[in-house]
Amino acid sequence: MSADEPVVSMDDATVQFESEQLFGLAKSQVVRAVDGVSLDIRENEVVALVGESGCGKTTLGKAAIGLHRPESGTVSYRGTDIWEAKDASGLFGGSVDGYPFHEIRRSLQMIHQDAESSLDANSTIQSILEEPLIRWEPQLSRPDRRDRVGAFLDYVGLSPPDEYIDRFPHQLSGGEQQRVALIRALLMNPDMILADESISALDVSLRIDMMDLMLRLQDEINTSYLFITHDISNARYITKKSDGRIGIMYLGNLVEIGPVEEVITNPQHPYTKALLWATPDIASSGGRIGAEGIEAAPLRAIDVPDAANPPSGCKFHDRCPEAREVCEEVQPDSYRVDGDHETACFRMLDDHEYWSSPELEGEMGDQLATPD
Amino acid sequence: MQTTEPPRQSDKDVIFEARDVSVSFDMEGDESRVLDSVDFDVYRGETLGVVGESGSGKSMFASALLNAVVEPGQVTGDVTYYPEDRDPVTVTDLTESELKEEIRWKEMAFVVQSAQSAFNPTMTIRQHYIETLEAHGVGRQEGLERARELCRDLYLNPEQVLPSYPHELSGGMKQRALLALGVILDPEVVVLDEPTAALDLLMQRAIVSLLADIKEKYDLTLVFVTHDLNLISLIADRLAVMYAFEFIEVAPTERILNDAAHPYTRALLNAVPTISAPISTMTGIPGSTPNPKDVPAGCSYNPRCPIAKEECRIDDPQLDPIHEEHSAACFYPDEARSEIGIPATGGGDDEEGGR
Repeated sequence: MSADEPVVSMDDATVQFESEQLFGLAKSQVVRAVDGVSLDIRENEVVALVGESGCGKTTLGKAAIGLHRPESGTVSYRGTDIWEAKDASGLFGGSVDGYPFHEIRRSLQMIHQDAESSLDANSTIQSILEEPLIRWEPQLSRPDRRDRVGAFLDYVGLSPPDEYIDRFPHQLSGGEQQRVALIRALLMNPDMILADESISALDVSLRIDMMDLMLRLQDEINTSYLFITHDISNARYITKKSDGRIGIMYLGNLVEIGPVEEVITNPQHPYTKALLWATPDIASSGGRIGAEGIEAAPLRAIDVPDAANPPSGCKFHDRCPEAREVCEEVQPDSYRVDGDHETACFRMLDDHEYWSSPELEGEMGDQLATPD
Repeated sequence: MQTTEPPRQSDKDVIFEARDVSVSFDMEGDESRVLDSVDFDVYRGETLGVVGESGSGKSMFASALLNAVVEPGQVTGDVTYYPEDRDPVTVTDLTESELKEEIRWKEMAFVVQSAQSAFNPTMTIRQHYIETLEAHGVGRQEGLERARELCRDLYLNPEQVLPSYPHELSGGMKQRALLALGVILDPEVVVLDEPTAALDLLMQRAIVSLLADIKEKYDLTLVFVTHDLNLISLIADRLAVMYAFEFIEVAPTERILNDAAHPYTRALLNAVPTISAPISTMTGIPGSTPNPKDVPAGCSYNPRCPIAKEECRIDDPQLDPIHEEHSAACFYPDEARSEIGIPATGGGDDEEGGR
């Protein structure tokens, strides 16, 4: 794509889970949480993945940092296949060409949605935060470590640091815990941080500050962020401020990705359009919906299909207002809209058979028709 | 009870009247007030949005309206319910069994966030509906017919949903089934406490539209409690903003969005990311919300307020009218409006943002 190599590169990656039915007595069910996704995350880039629950965005994020092994396809860190590196380190402690696994692990970090449960409840802030330092910078003396931790606390606004450093996680507010979790990830000096709904649990008044802090720290230590959220407004804020990209996921597929303003103001996939419809905006509408009610939804059904049994062809076809028969049969590839902007919808191709395929019948509420 | 101060606003048809309502918890000898001497009128037929951050007291207000505050919370003050064609009822004086018999479900329904825990996992949805119908002496046939219609209004297939157990339905379907249960006895008022918070975006948005539809169809008064200003602005006629266990501003939705007078409301409008406002206008609110044991003297917002003056540290401003149908608890509403820009007034001009 560009001259510099991506930090993380996923190529046609598929991750699936088996869920046992009836305690293993019945046939197990396979859920393909990530289904053939290709995605590059570049140096110092912010990519926000947006989707509803169950769309596979968390699984995709975890696969990107080497926490889920893909069933097929590859995930690479700076050109080194993460799982080949892992297998090599497991056998002889040797290495493949490229980066050793332990370095990949350190370089790809994560902060969770629930900061409190990700921090050891029985350790002080000092000991939580010096742990990575002991591991990665063993030459530092104890006082040096305390100074370093203190400087970070101060930097993220937990000041004076002496008031915080000896506290336990439960003695901090949600916003403070989230900042401690961010520092802990940053102390590893990572190349990419997976932030999984990490501001969703924060109060509205704190979210912008947390995103600003993430970006300020990005400038300091040069890291990329894979920012996972269900909220397209938050995704817009953090990617717009960092000139990043937004990816939209639906049932395991990346259905649209591109520069933030392209995706928000020139959305191409009908699902992206539905998400934008569902994102009310006090700044533009100035308020109330009219009497159009639910009929105005750009959807043919409001309930999401079962992820274990997704629709054939394009997985959005059963809810898509633009769907035609070909969408039931064939799964679209990703097509270029413009520059960096891609979407998985046949409507991008002027000469696709989609245009001559019959429209699918049905509107919202048809499934309710009952023999009265 | 109508003689208590302050008097009812005469020109509005009031359905709920809260006077000096507080909720407190006794924490090891320390009293925590999580709702602090609130006076509020809910109008018949309106959709009222009660907005606040977590711990602002908004859920307590909802519970207090229905006298449904959970032990060991203590409610003081009066909530009066004005039925359309009967004598007023002081809800806060009723015992639990009187509430159950006379008021709950029939007159006012409460829809909570977690549909999951509102349903009994061992009963089908149909059994839940029947239980509620029979407890209130409504015929099964007639009641279930209404349930089916409500399901269809909410885009649920009754033939699928009624025989299902709660775990067989998705979160969005459960929440809609709960909504149908809330309306099954044809109440006057439905109070919804974060009814969509656990749901996905499309479902949230769809449910808000459905609410607007069933409100019209069944002639309901809605009290919708939420932290989501973007969402509630879609359907609320009026918005009531809570901060530190009190109402700090109340006005028609358009006025709150375009001409908010309280510095906290204006800060909140700037703190909510949207998909169209310039990002340079978005900014968090410094400081943190007070906890109930440590509410600042004077105006509770004064430590975070950019225009606070000496007076604000000493006196607590009351929720006073500053305009027709618009009240704000601030000594300096004009200054707030001129000093603190909001997205609607073009608070920022820089489309590019950049760091």
